[in-house]
Amino acid sequence: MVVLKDLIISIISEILNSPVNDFTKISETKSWDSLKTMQIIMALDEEGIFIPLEKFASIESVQDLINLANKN
Amino acid sequence: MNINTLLISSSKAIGEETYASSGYNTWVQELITAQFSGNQPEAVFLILYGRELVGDVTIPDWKEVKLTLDQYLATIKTFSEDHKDIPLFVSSLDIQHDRILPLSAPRLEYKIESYWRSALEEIGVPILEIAEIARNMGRDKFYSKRMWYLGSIPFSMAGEKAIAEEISRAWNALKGKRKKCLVLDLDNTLWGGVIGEDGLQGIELSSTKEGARFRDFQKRIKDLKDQGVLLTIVSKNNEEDAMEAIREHPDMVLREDDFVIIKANWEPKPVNIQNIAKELNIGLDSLVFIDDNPIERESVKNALPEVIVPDFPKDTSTLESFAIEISKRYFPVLKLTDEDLNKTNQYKVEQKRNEIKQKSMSIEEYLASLEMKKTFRQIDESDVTRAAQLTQKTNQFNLTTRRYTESDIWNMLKSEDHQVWIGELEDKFGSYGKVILAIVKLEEDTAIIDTFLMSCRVMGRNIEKEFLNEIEKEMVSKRKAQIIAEYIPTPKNSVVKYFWAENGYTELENKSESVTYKKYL
Repeated sequence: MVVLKDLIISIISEILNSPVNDFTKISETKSWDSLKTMQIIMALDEEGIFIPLEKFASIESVQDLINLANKN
Repeated sequence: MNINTLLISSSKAIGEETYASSGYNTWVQELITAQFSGNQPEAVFLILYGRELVGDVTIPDWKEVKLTLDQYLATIKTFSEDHKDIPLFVSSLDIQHDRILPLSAPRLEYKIESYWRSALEEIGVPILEIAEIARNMGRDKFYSKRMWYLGSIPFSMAGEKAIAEEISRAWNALKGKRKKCLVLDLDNTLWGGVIGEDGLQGIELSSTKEGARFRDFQKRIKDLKDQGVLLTIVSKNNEEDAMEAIREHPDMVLREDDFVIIKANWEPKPVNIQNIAKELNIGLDSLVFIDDNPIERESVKNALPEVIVPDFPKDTSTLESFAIEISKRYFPVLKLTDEDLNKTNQYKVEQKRNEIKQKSMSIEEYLASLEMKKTFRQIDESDVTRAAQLTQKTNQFNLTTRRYTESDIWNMLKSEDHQVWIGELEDKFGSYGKVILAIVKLEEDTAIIDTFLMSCRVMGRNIEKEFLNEIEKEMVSKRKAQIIAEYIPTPKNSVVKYFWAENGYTELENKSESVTYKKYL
């Protein structure tokens, strides 16, 4: 699902205002806090990409978001 | 609810620093104490989530709900009365119906919503139309259950964007950021078809069926005209064809009288538009150009980049909504003044005066023939709105270009060390309204003229000198030894560069951003 991955990465990059990639982790990114994760999920919602709510706490990286999106 | 994400989109929409109350439901406390965590806000926007405000009543009891609402309304009322200097906007309530009820059960939601609305209107607090937005967008799109359960955010991204735009509109209205003039095309804009080819019978304009979309569009534009927006036409047509349609077509809503300038010719549109700006004596950035033809729009965008050129809807059945969007985005207004209501008429009367001017022998003769009557005085409560408007809109004859809101003017009215002067002018043709303003700060033995401005429509009447004299006389009677005045240059006010010098003021200090003058009394 190449297209989906690229969309997710571009949305995250825009919200964080800096480029991210497959390997970016929340703990290693200064500007990424829980508010930002909220914004990311909101933006993904808008695109019809639904991250299951119950997994919110387990999100630690860009890869997690991509995996959770794919499961849908 | 959590409004941190809304805060971010609002900040982007307004372009100003915004701050949100922390925690949940701390707004009541903040309004009671008027303490916003140490911030001095320029405006307060209260966005309420209906469902949370009123609670999930299992057995709806109007008396109980009313009690809750009245408590909130009392807080809002007290705040708005005690703090006229901090404009407060409160959202309308949208109460979603979630309980499962039989068809015939009474519905409390609408009663709650309308009670809330009427109370706000009575208090005099302007309303943010959140409920209307939710319904127009569709609650499914506006709200997000997912975001609510995840982080107590009631709205979807689209919902937040719409709220941010509404806040931005209220902010622009507060700041007087309103365009002045609509420039309209005719063919396929105010009617369907081309008048030069289809003729009076052939153009699409009627009260029912397809032609009605253009008629409804015209109705909304007429609303704007009635609210002080100037209407002009720029159309590539023979003048006779255009005028025939405007005058004779039975389903035209807008008639010749509604327009201050009609340019139906074969000149390039940017040339016509530039002339309109010159004739009306307003900046190009005060014009909004509406034309169905993308080529015409491009040419104006390229030649006159300051003119606002919105895209035209491809689906003309949305023309009425398009007009409403344009009004919200470019012509937001909080309150209308008498000057607004009379705008078009004012310009027409001015055109009449200009005709006389052309025929007069000299300026003195012309001015004398006008039989002008001037009233200069300090402001009272009824002048506050117009005074603020003058500071926000006047660009050319404006010595310092300081912009003030109504609450700023209120504070000056109440303050012992400020005097706000206003002048009204009328002549034998009619009244110009309140057209000249000065704000004077009083110190021990010095008066400082913070603001001195005059509406461009009364330039050349020489009333500014008399107005200044009145103020100087008052300063003498108040035993001030001297007056300090400033000229702050801007791209638009070079016309007043030597005003102070010409009126007996000597230069004190000359810096690049401002020149200070002094006059001994």
